[in-house]
Amino acid sequence: MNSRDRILQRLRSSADAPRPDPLQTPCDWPLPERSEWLALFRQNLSDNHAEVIECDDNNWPELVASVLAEKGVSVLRSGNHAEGRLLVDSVSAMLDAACITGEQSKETLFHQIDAGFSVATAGLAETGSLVIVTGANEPRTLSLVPPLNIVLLRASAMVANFSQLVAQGRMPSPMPTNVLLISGPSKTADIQQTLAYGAHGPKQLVVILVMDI
Amino acid sequence: MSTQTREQMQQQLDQEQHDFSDMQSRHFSVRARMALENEALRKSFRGASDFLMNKRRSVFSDDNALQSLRDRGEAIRQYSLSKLPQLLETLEKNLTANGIQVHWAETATEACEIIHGILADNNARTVVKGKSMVTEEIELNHYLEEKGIECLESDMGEYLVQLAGETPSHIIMPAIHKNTAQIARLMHGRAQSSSGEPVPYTEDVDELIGNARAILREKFEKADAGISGVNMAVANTGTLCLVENEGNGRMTTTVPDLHIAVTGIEKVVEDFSHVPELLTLLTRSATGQKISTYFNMISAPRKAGELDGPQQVHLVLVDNGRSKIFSHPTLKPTLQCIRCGACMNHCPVYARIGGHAYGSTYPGPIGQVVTPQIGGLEKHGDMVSACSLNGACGEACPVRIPLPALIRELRHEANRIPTRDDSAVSGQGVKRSASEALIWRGWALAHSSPWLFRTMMWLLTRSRPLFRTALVTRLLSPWTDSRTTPLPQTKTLHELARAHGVASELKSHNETGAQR
Repeated sequence: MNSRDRILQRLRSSADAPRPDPLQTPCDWPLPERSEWLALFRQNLSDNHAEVIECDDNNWPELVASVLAEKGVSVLRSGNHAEGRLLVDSVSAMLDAACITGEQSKETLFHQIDAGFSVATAGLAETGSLVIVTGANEPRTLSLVPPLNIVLLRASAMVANFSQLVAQGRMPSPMPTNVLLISGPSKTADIQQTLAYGAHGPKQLVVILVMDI
Repeated sequence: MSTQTREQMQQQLDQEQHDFSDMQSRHFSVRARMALENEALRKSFRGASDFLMNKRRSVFSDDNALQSLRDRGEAIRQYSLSKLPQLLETLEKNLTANGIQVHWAETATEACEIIHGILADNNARTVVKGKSMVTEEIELNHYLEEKGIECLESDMGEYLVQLAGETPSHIIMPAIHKNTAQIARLMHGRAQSSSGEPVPYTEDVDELIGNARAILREKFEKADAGISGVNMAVANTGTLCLVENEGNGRMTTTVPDLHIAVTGIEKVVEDFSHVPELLTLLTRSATGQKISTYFNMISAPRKAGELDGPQQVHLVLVDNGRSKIFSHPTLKPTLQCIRCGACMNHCPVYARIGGHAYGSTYPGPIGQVVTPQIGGLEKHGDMVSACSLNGACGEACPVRIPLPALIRELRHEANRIPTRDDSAVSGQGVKRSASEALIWRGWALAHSSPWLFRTMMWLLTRSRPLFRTALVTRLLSPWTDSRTTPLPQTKTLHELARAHGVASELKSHNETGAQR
């Protein structure tokens, strides 16, 4: 018998009777009201040191362009989605390099990209979280390695919280390689409980909230 | 600016590291005393405990909602444990289908061997680590270093602790025992950029973090492999979930070509619907955050067409005593733990002696419960006495582990006449002493015999002057060394009651009843 079988055998020999479905246990944790979702989402993100910029379906690329100019970004990479292509088209004239990301070396990734652009598939109001489903068209490292991460979210994709997202069957199925909840720029309080931003990941997070409702 | 030169700082750091190893080699009671006498250390822990307790309180403002969420958390953990063998098999099946290779380790050594084997197969020489308590538990860094593999901690706190040559003193905030000035000296004295340059001296936290960031980013970029822990593993989808703020966990699991995740077998849940509430309990209880900056859900290695992510992902399931804990009739709830650290933040003993005094990977109340069960009461039996049974940990625990009851049970295990049960904790009965057993027999006898009790109380009250003599002080010295000598009253409670006109206990009870 190998380790696996011995471990499982020991567990089976002392397993209890199965317990009832835990989700039947009443839970009075309050869900935020729909009318409060947007305000709560914004508040949570700004409490966590992220910027939230409201815009509409027509003017968001312009607003992103002004963010890029203000922050002195010269090299931008985006995932390969409609929003990314639109953004690249509208800002490529003003930047040194803006393009849809392809195969790139770690060297390039770590040293030559100022900002990454990602699109969130949902937002969680209770915690101010962005749900990012990564994959071939949404690389994992773009929201991690460049010092600035810009994430677009449509207000219509907001839900109350993570529990509701899961309960409504809105987690991708089957699960892709990597799904992320991002709720602010990277941070640490490991030195005497003093908060510092830009621990290992982005120092700044800008959320482009498209008001499509 | 510091008045010390870099050489002086290095000498001081060497001395501090030496003191640390020296302290760790001492007996628990000596370590505790040394910690109590260290004012800077006590200040660090007091400050951190108050900070974390206040933060937690601020995100659980509605007590009814909190209690209800704790009920749910407890139910989810108990449900998951009740199906543990099936869930582990489902997890293995789904992970394997997703392309993640699953390994099982019965012991710490076997886990280290498996991890080393995977690294060796891939010719991996440099490893970056995300925060993982189970790899501390199995002493992986030490094992890999002996095999010539560089293993660098990348969580800021863990990095600092590794740089100092110490171990974490808290499971969530590993460098909680150091203040900013100490960290400033540590970074200037020991940290180096890749070109071998020392980092400039600074006490500015942003600059300190910036310096560590620059050093570690280079390591992430170049590392052959990343090793991480797991906060929850979801059986139905074959997903590994990681909770973190810094981004080092994502770096570790995304940038190197090889990712090895390591977890205790108890961390599995059945379905994604069980994840959100455990996540919110975890981050709110641990650091008072509604959610951590990142919640990273990994279900596969890099797929065709994807531009990043590791080519290989492995999961090492570590037993190391957990299946034995699982078989114990009363200690089983130990495995409900989600490793938030709230019990240590709320523990008045931990706040005073700090994490290192326990001399174990897991300090504080959960450490007092886990450690003797994994490492045996022979070695770790003393730490279960470091508890006043005040109950704060049990009230803070987000999944309602009855920690005080478990600590009491372990004291009983340590003091009982050994049974030969399979589930008996290793080292059962090791603290049993004939004199203590005799004293308790006497205590039980006195309390079950009214005339004996009254005689004893009468004698005690009348021997009051004796309590001021050197002989009695010496006899009571284990108690009175750090406390004033207790003095019996001049009369027993029964005598006082009679003097107040209470004829008997029965009558007084009736009178109180009549007054209502």
